[in-house]
Amino acid sequence: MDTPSYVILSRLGAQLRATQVLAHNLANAETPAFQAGRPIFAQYLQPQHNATGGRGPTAYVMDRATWRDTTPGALTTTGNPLDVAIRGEGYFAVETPQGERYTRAGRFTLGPDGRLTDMEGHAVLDARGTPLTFGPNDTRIEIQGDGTVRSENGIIGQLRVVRFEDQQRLRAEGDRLFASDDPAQPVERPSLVQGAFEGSNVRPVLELTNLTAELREFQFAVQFIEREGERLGSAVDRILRRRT
Amino acid sequence: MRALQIAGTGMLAQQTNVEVISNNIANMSTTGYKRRRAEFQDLLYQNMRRVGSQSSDIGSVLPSGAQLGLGVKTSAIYRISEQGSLQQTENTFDLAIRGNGFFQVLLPSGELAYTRDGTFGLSPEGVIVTAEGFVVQPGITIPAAARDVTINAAGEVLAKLDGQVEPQNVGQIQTAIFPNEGGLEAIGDNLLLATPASGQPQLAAPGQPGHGQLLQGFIENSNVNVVQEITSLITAQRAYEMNSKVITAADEMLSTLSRMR
Repeated sequence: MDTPSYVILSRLGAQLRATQVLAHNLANAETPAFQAGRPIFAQYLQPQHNATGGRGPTAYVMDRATWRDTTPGALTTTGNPLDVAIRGEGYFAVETPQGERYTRAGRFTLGPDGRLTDMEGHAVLDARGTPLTFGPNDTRIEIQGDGTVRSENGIIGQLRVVRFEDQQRLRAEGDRLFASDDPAQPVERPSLVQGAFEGSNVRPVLELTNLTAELREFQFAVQFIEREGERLGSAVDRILRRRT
Repeated sequence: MRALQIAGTGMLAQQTNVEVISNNIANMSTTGYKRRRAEFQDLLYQNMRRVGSQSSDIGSVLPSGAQLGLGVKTSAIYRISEQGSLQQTENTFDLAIRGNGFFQVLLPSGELAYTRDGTFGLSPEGVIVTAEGFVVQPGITIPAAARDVTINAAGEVLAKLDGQVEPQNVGQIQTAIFPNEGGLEAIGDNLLLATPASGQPQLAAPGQPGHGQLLQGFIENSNVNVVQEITSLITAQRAYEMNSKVITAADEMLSTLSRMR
């Protein structure tokens, strides 16, 4: 008898999750190469056992997955020689204590031992899978469009740029890094831009509009529960009155 | 209601951003100042349904999991070591470095510090010192009889003494370069200290490979670009507002819930 309330309750729970995803997107509106997340909702069908005839199952809502918007963010030029953006698809590979991780945020710096590292100090890998290391005399660092890194003393290496069959299977780990269970495939001809980095692909207007819509939907759902409660209450009242 | 905390991390990050920008604007006419930039990273994720986990016993696998992010954090505030514009001052002991390098300065504590601010002067003993009175390394004494001092692009200090035709070489200014300039620690007064992250300084005469040249009678202005800072300020302010909107919305959801009869 109170199935409608439970159906709408599943909606409330899903809505809260959606708001959380949205809050995370907006909080990261300035994080380089951040990819906005979107919740995916799905029906959860519950067969009606006490159905009194040809009624179909009840559909509850549940959040099935989060999907990542992999559209590249806008490029911001900085003129910093160690900022690199990838045009088109691809990820840089960095070495972490947990293994190889991938990022599109090409904001690199130099470590104390001359290694090219990301902002957390993880070494950036070259095409052979070893960290790229600069000598003390390499002061003019040039990263070419195909990923070749060179200085005034010659070629140092080539940045490892990889792609994945299905980007959605990458696992976000925070610190702008992704982990993958699938093997990474090197990109044959990467297209890099030195002196620029990729911004976040969060579109604030879209997020704010969604936020307003979600808020109203939430309020409708709550209102629905209230009405449903009133309906039940009055039904009980009426039944009781008939008895007396 | 985690949306509240997540939006809170967003507001905190933007607050840091505004602080960094305001420090840049405050230092827009500080000699040798390098502008800073706040750098953000996403916080860790909570896996509600793990990517690639099996969804049935026949081995079907989830194509994408449900990952909930937990917000943003400031990962670094780093200096952008782009060359600042050079300004002519005609002052004998004003030096600017065109290219890479830092002057080495001896602090009263005995530590060595590094600076791009070349507004130097003479101590009562005739030693070249910074505006704070710290000795520029290696200590170079200008003889009292010097009439005219020239510092050339390679850092040689040439003094023309009274009664002599040929200028006399009284010292050599050296500059230091680092494998990672971004790793230097700022201690105020335009001074920086070496850290394990910056690596060991390499001293050489200006103009040597990797070292910039000196310019006498010039100072290096700060590399703050006001237009850029103001635009970032506007962006930061809007981002702050948007995060506060999320908080308002989350709060409204909660109040709707609590008003539910």
